Amino acid sequence: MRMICAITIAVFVVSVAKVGAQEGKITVRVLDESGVPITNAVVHAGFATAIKPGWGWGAGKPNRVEGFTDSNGVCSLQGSGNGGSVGIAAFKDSFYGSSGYQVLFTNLIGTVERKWQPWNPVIQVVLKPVGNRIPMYAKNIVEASVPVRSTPIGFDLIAGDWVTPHGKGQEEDFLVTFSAKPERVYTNWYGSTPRIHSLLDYTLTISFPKEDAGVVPVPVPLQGGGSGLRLSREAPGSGYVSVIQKRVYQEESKPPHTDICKDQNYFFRVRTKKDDKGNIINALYGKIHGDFQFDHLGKLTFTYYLNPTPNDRNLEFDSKQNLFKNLSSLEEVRDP
Amino acid sequence: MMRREIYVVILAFVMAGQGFGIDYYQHENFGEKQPGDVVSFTVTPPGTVISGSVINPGGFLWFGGPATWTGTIPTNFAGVHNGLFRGTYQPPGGGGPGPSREYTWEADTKAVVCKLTLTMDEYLGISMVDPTNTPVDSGTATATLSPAISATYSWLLGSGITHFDPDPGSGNTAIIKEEGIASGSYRNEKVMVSARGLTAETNFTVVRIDIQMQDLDEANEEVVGAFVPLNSDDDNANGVPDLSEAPVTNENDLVELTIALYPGDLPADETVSITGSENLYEDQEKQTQASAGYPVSRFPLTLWVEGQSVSSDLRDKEIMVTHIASGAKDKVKYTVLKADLDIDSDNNNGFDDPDRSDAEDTIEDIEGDPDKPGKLICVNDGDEDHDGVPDFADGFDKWGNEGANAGGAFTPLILEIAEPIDLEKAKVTFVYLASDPDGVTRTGAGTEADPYIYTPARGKLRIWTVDGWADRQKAEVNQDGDFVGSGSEYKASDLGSGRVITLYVEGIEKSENIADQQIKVEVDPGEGIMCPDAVRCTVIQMDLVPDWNHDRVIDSADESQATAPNPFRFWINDDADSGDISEDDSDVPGHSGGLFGSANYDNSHVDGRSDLLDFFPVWLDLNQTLNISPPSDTVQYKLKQANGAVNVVYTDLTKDHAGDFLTTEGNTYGPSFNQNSYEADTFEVTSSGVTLSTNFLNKIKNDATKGILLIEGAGTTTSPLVLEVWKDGVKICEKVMPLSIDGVEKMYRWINVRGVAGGDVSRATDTIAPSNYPDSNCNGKQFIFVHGYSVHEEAARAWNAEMFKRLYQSGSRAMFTAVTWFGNDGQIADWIPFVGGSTPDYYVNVEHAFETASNLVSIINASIPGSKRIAGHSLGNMVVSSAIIDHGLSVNAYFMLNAAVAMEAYNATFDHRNVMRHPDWQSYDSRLWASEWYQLFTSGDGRNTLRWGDRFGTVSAAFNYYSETEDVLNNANGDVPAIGTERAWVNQEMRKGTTLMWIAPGNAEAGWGFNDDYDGLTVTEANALPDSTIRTNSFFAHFDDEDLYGTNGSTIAQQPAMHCQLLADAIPALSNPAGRNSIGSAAGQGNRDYMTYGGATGFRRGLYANGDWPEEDNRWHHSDLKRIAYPYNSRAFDQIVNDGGLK
Repeated sequence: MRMICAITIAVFVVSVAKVGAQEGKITVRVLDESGVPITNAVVHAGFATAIKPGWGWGAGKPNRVEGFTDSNGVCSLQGSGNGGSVGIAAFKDSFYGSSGYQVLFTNLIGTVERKWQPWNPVIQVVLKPVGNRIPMYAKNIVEASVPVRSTPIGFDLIAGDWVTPHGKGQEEDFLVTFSAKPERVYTNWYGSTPRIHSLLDYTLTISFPKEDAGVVPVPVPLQGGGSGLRLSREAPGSGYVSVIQKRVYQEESKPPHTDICKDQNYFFRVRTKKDDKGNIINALYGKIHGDFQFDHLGKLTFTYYLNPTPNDRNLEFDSKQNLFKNLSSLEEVRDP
Repeated sequence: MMRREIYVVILAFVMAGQGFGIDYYQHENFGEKQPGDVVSFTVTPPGTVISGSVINPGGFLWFGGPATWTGTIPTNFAGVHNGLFRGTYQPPGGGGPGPSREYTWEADTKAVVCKLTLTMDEYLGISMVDPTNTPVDSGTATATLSPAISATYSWLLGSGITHFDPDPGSGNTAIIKEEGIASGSYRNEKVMVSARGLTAETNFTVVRIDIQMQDLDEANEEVVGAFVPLNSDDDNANGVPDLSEAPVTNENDLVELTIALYPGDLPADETVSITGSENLYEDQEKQTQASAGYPVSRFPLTLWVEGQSVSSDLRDKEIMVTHIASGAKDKVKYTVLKADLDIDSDNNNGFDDPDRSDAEDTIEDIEGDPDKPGKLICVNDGDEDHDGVPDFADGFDKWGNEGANAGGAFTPLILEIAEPIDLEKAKVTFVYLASDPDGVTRTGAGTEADPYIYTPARGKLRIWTVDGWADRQKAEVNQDGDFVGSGSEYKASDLGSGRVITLYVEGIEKSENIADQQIKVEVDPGEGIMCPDAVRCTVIQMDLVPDWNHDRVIDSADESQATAPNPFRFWINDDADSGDISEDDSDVPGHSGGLFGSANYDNSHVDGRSDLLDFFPVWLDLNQTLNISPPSDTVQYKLKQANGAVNVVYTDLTKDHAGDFLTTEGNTYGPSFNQNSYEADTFEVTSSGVTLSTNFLNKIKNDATKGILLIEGAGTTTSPLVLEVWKDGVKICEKVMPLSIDGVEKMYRWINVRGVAGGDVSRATDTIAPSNYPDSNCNGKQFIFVHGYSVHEEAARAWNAEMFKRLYQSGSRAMFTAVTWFGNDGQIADWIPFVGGSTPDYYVNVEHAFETASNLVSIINASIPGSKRIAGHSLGNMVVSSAIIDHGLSVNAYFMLNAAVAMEAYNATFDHRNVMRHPDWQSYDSRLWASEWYQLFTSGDGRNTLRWGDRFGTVSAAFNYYSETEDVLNNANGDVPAIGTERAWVNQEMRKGTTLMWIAPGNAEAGWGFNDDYDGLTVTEANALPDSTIRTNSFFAHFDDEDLYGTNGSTIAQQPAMHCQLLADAIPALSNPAGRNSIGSAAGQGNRDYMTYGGATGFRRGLYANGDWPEEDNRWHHSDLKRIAYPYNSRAFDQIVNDGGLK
């Protein structure tokens, strides 16, 4: 029933973080997409440290160690840190780097031995080869206000803007419909003090007016590591759905609900043309990194890439050849 | 003289003569006859004429015979006629008694034939040399009778352009005078005479020749004369004075002369002579010297007069033309003048008087030659006396800006009015694109917030009689002022005394083209004729433009903003950044330089991406100047700063991307433009000046948008950054950028409320407007930042400085107030081995957060007026949320940055008890938990508020900036977190009530501790405890104050200090922290996930894998807002600035 002593020891070490520097060890296996080990890949491991007490709270400058994979694609690295985690990345020429891998240590055992636990876990890192990087239209659309509520408004991906008269776009690549129910409030009581809360309920619908145009949802975990090339290098040839809808709402005495998924990504197909037999003879392909984000005011945010070459499903973006020019720092897209 | 004969035949007697042996004599006298007349006679001897012949025709032409003869008088015959004829005849019947023979006859004829002849010269040539223009030429017509016999003559003129003078009467001569009018055509004039029935006439021509020069009328050609400038310049720019060579391309100093000859149909082979032709040319560019004579066929003739030497007297030179045949002539006199206007056309005298050399003269008025721009004059838009009035509007009596030493330096312009011009008579007119000083306009209110803005009247230049240092009058010089206007006619004395007058030129507006600004002077010696000279200049406008509004773009909104009283302000780069992530005290401002110092300014490179924040871009607007005067061995461009207080990095940036170094990777920095921005070389701008590299300047020369320098402050200064152009060792132009650099803490307010909770205070609250960032430079909005947990006062300086800098570089123009509070209570002294510096008692600092709030609100309300935005980081959000909810702080926006506050505090529906409860309590009903004890009391009981749920409720002004990858605020997973920073906040919540007092000085009450009174109860038994029991004897460890369980418990619970203490150390949160999660509409303005908001990589520039994040795990950690180099996380600040409307 009482574990105060054990906890107290742990808490004490938390509090005096400088005390907690321990050795950590990891082993990284670097493979290509087909599972073949990659030799001489550079592996970075950043063992987290804590900001020196008094100077703030949280992670400080990581203690970085580096190594190379052997003929089995394996690299073991050991380092010291008092932050309780290690971040891992791997690089190899002609491959996209991979990063975001991490191990969150526990120290229930290691505290005594002054070793982070688990000791020497194996982390598998996959590197994707660099293929044919191409110029694309790539842009962050940041807080673009949906011009009219409850009405489908066209968005032109080549113009990067709403379709006229709401913007300079000409082609309705997809339609955005934002609707919001009237805001309601409810009151909680904190003692005798009322706490008034809003109940919001708003919905975003993305629809594609052209036949066989649409999106293919591709979930990729936001955390856990992955390639610098987030999605597959080619858009799929089928599986496109023409409508997606997302709702954010809250009901009284319940926490908010959102359909916005941080792990969600999409391939899309627009500007489709079909022959008499129903075969697609023309289409532009692209991808969306992350989900469509929007708030109750109808401000829409998303990041997209569009290959301007008809029927070319290659989506490996060369960030030095963005077909959009003079983007602001907020609009700029750097990931491939 | 043409002669005309008129024959008059006078009848004469035919005198019969009797010859020897002549049988018959006959005399025929025809009397007076005229040439052309026909006469005849018939001999009539007694008998039949057999033969006859002309013995002497007597000048007549005879035909006929033998008895009858007819004679014609030739037209040219004049005089007495004596003719003789002989022949034979047969008398009737043979002739009488004698022997038969031929009889002879003889006849003589006589007549008198008269002729009238009129003679006169063919031309009357008008002489125009008479200054009165009186016709003086005349001709005499003479009538002659042959043979000379007495007669009365009658005279007549055929046209009206001549007249007899005097009246010829009846004599045989008449004098004809011209009236100054030329004949309409050759031989168009006629004079006639008659006498004795005879008439004669003759034609003649009145000829006029006329010189036209400078629109002189005839009367003034010799009285006033023309004025010709000395051709001493060098229009072909070959270094040779034009008067010394020929031909001269682009020559423009010769004066046109036209010679007209009337009538126009004079015989082509006649000649006109010219005297004075040695100074004449047939063309303006001196390709063909004029000759001394020209055939009439060349007329009208245009020639060009060159002033080859200055006249010693007025009209001492002349040109005369003469029509040789008629004697018609004209003359013009001229004076060669030197009205000399000089400026430093070769740009080697700076603001001193020009050399006035021949070489300088030759290039003073050349347009469009890139190598000869004329005098380079800077736009006078500095602020010499630092009073906020630009020099073009200062130092003269407009808008009350008169006064000496206020207008900057002007360029001397020398006017010489040489002999023989009479200064008393001379009139001087300048012609140039003048900007009337009285036309300066002023807008604004003259306040700091709305300063006066001065705009000059259109025009490129001004000319003054005094230099810019003088206290000037804006009126023109002929109205007791000092301004020399364009087109106004002044007396020479208006401009100054003597023949050499120094004037001063002020540049007002930038030239459009090289040497496009001509200053022309026209000196009228007093006779209405102008003697001109001209110089040219190019008005250059170079500028040093900082990114005044720090929006990362340098454009028109940034120009002319920095003034002497309101300079561009920035901070000294005296922190100690390195690499991509800050460490401990690296962000504390005020590091020293020197051998053992670590201040970033004190080395010759950029110190990592973290250091880029401490640079500001300045655009050198130099394209025009560089194209006029490119860098060379003789031309240098220098940067100077009196205190050596700035260091500079060369860049290849353009002004529309001036701030890219803050957001984007780049490797076109440094002296060779091949270094990364974060490690590029810097160089010091010295007090003596450092010459800018030719490579850098050439980039500007080729692309006007380039010329961005990154500048860091290296010391305190209020001296401007100065850009100078030097030529041949002489400064020809300078431009200053008013600058004020000081420690960053001189740019924001400081509230220190550490003392409220018992903390030591080193630097007291100072809410007076910051000395190096006055409120007038801001947008009227206040931004207040409250740091988080475990930040001592020195660390607060680092946090606040970084937050200010980052918001500034994202374009915030809000007034910034830094707050420090006592959030590091219990921190163990640094010197204590092993644990020094740590802050083991989190809870007491949560209490301090609550304690601080009310005092902070009081200070803010008293000292920080206007609309407010406030931000709290981490536990600072407990301070801010309490300030807003508990103490009524009114803010327009509240930025919850990584809020170390339970989500439920903002909305009680957030409930993560399944993972937030301590594992030891997994099986116990939640009603036994300290977190739920409040439910045992009614809403009116103070103990009902001992909970985190809805502690603050919805904050309508709040933006919740959270990170899904938080370390400190990582969500609970049901276990007690491991050591380290990961889930440290959850750890604090989970250990409430479990901490041993001796280890940590904070309270160890309630929470997840167990009440020893219930030792031995099974879980089931415990869960069955009635409310009435646990209300007065909680299942969890007792509160330190046992009275909470008593009848006075409600009152005690409502005591603020007790309430805060209990929330801090006794009541565990049952929800994850707001800094890790969206709190929905409880953040009234929205939620921003650092990881994903605003694009696929959120506020991160990108991923570590792609070189756009400095940590392998790609996470946005608890304090990454400050510790990660700004280029990686600038988007977060951009968003804050957007959300707060801080620009």
